[in-house]
Amino acid sequence: MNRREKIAYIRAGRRFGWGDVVVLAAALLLTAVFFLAAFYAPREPGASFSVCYRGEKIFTADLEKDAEYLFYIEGGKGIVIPYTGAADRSDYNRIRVSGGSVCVAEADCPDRTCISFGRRSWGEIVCLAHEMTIVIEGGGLETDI
Amino acid sequence: MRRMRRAAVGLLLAALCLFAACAPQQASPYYVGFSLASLYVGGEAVSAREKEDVSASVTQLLHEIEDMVSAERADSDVARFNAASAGERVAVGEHTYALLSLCKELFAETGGAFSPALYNLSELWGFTPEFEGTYTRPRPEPSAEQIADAAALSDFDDVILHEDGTVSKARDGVRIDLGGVAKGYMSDRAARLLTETFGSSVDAILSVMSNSVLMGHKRGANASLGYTASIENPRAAVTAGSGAGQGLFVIGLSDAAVSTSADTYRSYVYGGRIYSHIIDPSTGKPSENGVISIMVTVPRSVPYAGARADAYSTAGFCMPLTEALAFYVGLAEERGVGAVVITADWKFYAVGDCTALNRTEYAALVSPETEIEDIFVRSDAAAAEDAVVACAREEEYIRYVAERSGR
Repeated sequence: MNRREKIAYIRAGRRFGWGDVVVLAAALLLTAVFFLAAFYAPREPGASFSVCYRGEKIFTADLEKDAEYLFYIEGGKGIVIPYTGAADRSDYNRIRVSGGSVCVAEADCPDRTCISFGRRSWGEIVCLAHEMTIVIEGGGLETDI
Repeated sequence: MRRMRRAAVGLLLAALCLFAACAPQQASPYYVGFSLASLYVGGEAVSAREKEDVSASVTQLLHEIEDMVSAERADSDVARFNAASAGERVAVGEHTYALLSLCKELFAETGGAFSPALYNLSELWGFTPEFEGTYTRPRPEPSAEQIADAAALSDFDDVILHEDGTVSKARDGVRIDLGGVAKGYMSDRAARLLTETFGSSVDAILSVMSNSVLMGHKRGANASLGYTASIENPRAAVTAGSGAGQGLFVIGLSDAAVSTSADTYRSYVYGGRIYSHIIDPSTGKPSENGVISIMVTVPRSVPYAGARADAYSTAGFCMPLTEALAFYVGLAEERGVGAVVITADWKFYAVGDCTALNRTEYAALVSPETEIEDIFVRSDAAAAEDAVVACAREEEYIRYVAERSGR
């Protein structure tokens, strides 16, 4: 468009030409495609999961066995124990394994983001407040290399 | 019309911006990958920031080495040496010279079973980089004459190292490929860089492709088992089920370099047999001693443990089975080496200083509820025989590979 047309556009209070709309729409579409691909692409469900505290793996268990575990922080250390029904800890996340997936069922972190991850059979669940990550791992037995 | 063109250009630019991050950063890509895990100094976990910094320096070091020793790179030391004529002295860098000196030692130690001078033979059999993408294509054997010609130019004794840091060849056409030790050497140098950075109390798991250096001792969960390693199941294609990718396990590792060679990758099936990329210098053909996978562990107290593990795991493919086992027993006594050899009759032999566990044994230790079956049968090295007869399941695997590659 030439200068006069541009001025006319601005005078009319129209800041967008249709070309801008096309570019924006294309960018939006691409974003949506990548977003959907990242979250909804079929994944191989994991066989086990690990609990990491401050990036260090502190616990590993099978996903096939339904169980509940309690992660809690005590004296600067992250600890995972089988959940016995007594939530008498502070700074804890109750981890539930059922039907091959894992979720955080209950936690005393301020944001509860970990709970909103829902049940997952692949990927990660992160609790920023407790610096705790649940990492779901592929089939087979865990080794270092 | 003009507007439309502008819109199109805008769209294109927007798309380009989105994909810009995917574009290769370097004109010449680096093939060697590196990973660093479980890094502790003096028993304390190292911060993510520090780990990132040291990883960047390691990556830079590995790129330097790759630039020097990659046979694919036209200006690398190795490429220049390969292009040189007899008697011409080629000046090479520190890493290339160190690697070649080490190769001389390993060549002698393995009685010639490990040799970096097999480039001509590898090329004849279609396993050099220019054949990338067609390694698995079934193809008939080259003629005996072609093999003899290439073999005549595949003697590492024809490669001469001079005191002044130059290298020459005694015969025109002799060519080398350091692929059999380079990644092991890289893991050694990376480990050295970590020790230089953090001091000697480093615990870490460092891997350069299939070559790992387990520094210090295992920390964190299951530390009592020491570092644990799984040996990839080379027959996973026909062994479905839980943990099919894992063949065997080695536990109780500390301060050791670990390397595995197998006939799974860079190999093809033709006429009912497997041709692997590991060329036997004594025959000029892909090794056929009934071995399908070898893992070797070398204590880090031995200089260049990683490069050695890399070379030792290849050398065992190029000896008759009993000789290979005896070779590893000798290395065990001399250097504390451990080896696990898996054969085409789906047996495995564990030799020397390493605790190899079968799948059920390892599962019982770490995860008793896992339903898992053994694939390979533990066997006594003293009862091994050179004539390995492929078992029915091995034949099934060969058929499977043959069908998949269209023969």
